[in-house]
Amino acid sequence: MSLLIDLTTHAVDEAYQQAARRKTASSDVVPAPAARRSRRATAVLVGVVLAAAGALFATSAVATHRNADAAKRDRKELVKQINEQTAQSDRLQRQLDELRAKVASARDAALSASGRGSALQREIAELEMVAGTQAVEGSGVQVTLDNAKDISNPDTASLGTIYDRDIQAVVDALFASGAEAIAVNGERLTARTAIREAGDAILVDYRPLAPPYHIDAIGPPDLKATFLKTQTGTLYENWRQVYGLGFSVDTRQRLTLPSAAEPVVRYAEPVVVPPSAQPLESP
Amino acid sequence: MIAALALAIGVLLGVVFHPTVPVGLQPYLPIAVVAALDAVFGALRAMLDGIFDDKVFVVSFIANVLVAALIVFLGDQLGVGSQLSTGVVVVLGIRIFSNAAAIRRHLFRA
Repeated sequence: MSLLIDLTTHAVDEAYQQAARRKTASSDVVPAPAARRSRRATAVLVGVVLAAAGALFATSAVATHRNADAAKRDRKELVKQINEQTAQSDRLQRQLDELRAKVASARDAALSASGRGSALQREIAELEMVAGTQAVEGSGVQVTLDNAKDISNPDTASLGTIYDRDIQAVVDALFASGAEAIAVNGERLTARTAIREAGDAILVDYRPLAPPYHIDAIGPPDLKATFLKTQTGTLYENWRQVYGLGFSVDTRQRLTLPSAAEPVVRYAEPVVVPPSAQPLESP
Repeated sequence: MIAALALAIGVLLGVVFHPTVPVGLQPYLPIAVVAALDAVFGALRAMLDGIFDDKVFVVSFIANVLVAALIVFLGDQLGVGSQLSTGVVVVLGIRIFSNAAAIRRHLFRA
């Protein structure tokens, strides 16, 4: 405390008092012309220092405002870039979908020419469906996850927020309950689809999603009942009641799931199986 | 009067030319500003107390700004830069406050 008291009682620089005492001690002596000159020089110096102080204040203020403006500008520019790139990515995705459809129809046309080709065509369709590179439809459930309405309380905010692991858990439980095809907010899941978090956004197949999260799953008629009986199902039902987490499971008669982007395989190669063990004869 | 004029001229120069502060010196600018404010307020109070001294003001101003910057620099090197800056701001802030209070007592007798 003495430090604080010291600080307030000695707010003015000690040197001023000392200088004043020295001055009174020597006040009876008439100042010499040299001393007067030096006093004028220090007066000019005071002006210069004060001007420097003013310049310092102004510089600091201007720099602060300019930095704030620059930050705002940068932010705007970044938002613009994000929007542009997202639009570009969407455009390319559409183009890709069109081209893929073209390739598929050309392949089908070529294959349907022969009986052997038709058999292959059926097999391809089946494999594509399983791999998730083919749009599919069927009955199933839609699980909706959403952040709790009121997450203003910082202590429980994280409990009412949906994270990547929530979506992972629900997807896992749906697959375990017999789901055959799943899409999250229209992003079809494949064996190589990552559900992860970057910053505050949940990415599925590296595309950011915004809440609410609709998880469409095509599966057996009892998918909803089975899913709700799983550990995940009961847990989230519980959290919905306790933390107000958005969680609902609805049966859907007709769900259409889009196809996922075709995974590119660059490095992996099929294991070479001896010809006798090969299940498929080469044409 | 001349002092106020000099201060105004300085502000004007800063606004008109707005010199760019080198990136390396930018962390020291806020602390230098607070130190300068402290020196100016201290000088104003000393003037009202009738003990103002040109030389003391010039020396204390330059020394305060340099020491404040040095403390921040030292803190940055030791990894406690922000904490030391806070300390400097608190100490100088208290001084500015009590000097301002003394100035107020001089001017308004209250």
